[in-house]
Amino acid sequence: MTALLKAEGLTKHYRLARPRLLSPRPVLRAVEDVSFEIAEGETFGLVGESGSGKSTTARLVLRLIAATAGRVEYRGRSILELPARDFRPLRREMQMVFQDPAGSLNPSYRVRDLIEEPMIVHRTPATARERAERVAALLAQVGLDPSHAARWPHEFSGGQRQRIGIARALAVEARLLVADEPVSALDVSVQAQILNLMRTLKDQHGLSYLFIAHDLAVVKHMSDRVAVMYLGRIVEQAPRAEIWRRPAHPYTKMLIAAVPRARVPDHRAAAVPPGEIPSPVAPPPGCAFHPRCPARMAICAQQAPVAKEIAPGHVAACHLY
Amino acid sequence: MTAPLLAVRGLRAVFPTRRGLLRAVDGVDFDIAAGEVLALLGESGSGKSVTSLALMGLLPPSARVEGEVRFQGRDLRAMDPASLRSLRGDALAMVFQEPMASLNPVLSVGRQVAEALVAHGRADRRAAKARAIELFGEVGLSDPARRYDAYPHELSGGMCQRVMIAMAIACDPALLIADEPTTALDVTIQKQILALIDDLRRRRGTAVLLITHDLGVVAENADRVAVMYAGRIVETAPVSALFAAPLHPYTRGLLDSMPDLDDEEAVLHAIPGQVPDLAALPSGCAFAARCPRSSDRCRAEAPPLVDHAPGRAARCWHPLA
Repeated sequence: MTALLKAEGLTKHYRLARPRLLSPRPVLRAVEDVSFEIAEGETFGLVGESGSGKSTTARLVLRLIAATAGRVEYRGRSILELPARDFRPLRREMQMVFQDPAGSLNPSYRVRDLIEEPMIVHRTPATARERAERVAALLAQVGLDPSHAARWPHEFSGGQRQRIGIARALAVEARLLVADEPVSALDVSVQAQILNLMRTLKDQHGLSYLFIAHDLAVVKHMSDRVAVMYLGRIVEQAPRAEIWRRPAHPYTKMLIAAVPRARVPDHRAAAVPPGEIPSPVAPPPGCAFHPRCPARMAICAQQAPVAKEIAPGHVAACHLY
Repeated sequence: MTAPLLAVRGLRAVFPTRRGLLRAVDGVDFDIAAGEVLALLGESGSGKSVTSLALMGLLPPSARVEGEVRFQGRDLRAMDPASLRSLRGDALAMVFQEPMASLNPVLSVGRQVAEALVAHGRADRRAAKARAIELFGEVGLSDPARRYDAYPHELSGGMCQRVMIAMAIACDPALLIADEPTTALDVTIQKQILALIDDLRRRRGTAVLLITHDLGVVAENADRVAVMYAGRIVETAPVSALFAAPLHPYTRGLLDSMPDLDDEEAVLHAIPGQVPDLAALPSGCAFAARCPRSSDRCRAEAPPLVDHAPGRAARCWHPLA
């Protein structure tokens, strides 16, 4: 497996304002020692609840925010400390698809200008005529009518706006798309259209995805491999089929059990998960999940577990293993 | 047979807009029996939330509302505003999607519950505090006496929703209207809140109108479902029957477009197109343009809601099965 993207020990701490004069500034540990690889042509899913650090991880990988520690390699080059000028051609290959297509499209740009903008920034293609042709081709590829290029974003529905967002990401021949909750603002029937489109485009363009969502069924549907995050850390990582059939970490098991199931008749009776998600400003000591964990042991409150490979490609950070 | 707790007949809510009349709710009929959970299932713009606001008399004055809403034998639509106000929050209570936005940010959550008790004559000031703390314990807030003085921003979304539920059940309602009560919450917290609502129903016999877009939530929490599309109920059925064999092609489409944790599907069967413009509804069936079974008749003539079996009805010229 050749890694297209490799994150190692990625960490992001935010220093918050002092709650009182002279008191120390609290530290919010948004992402803590996160490592993963995305192979060429692979969809790597990141799943977790709010505050798990999945969106922060996406932004770190794209250098949209500065990491506190750790490194990111893209096609073998360490990118976090590259000067902006050297990073620019790589940035072109790593594009983002956002959750809220309404909020991420400039309302005062026509659709053609929105899609053309990244081409102008990266000076490819060079001529206006080539760019116009490319805009039309991209609109057709994402299932929109090329004759709608002169319309404004507000004239489109949520699903159509997400198609525009995807066309924009593809405008400069991206190789890696980082999609942060790309369908969570959409209705179920439209969500399926966008998920199908993303899978088709992946095959057509040989894309790789870092696919982030809180919806387990959506992540499972899209991903080749999945990592589960809890309070800033990856607690488990495995190939898709493995993680649903043989979840190892008690948090993964709890998460899967909590999803309401339309087609499993007795699932209604599944155990109710205990506790609240703790604050990332004051995470519990040891394993951050231990206060909610049905399998906790004495050691869990004292020592953070180290990630271990429990089966080929299946890694869990839990004292049970 | 005894009269249902709530009987809704011919409910319409029309909003005048610059683009013409927007038919948000267009002739909705349903009953809820005492102690029953009826789910109103629909995507955005289906009219499910407007239905609940219309029956509680909470729509803005610009909305034109028609139809009959009988609750415990009384016609709510004919009631004067003062009597309706004293009924709301008493025998008829409501929980909304955004618990943070529904609570007063500058009043402690305990005071808010206590005020509701006093306003409805359920307790005097001193008894109200003790009763509020009791209710906090009942809805599973840890350390209820300390929570009494907490402000909404100090609590998590799940805890705020527990406060909202405490307020809703303060006066022992016969019917609880829960409008997307868990949509803003994480999946493990969602399971907790739904279990709490189920527990209240069992212990107190409260009927629930559960408004949601989530098929899994319907499957695990409702007795009966009414599926809404473009302001109308297109299918009603007991939950198990709906999931086993839906009658309406829209319901079938919704089930097929949802990625499933228990299934391996390469391509999702998305419903093509999008929800129609409520200000320019077609003359025939509103779903015809997206429906694989549509005929000339569907485009010309709107189908009536037809009974297929006891408790099962569909609004379709070409129902499945």
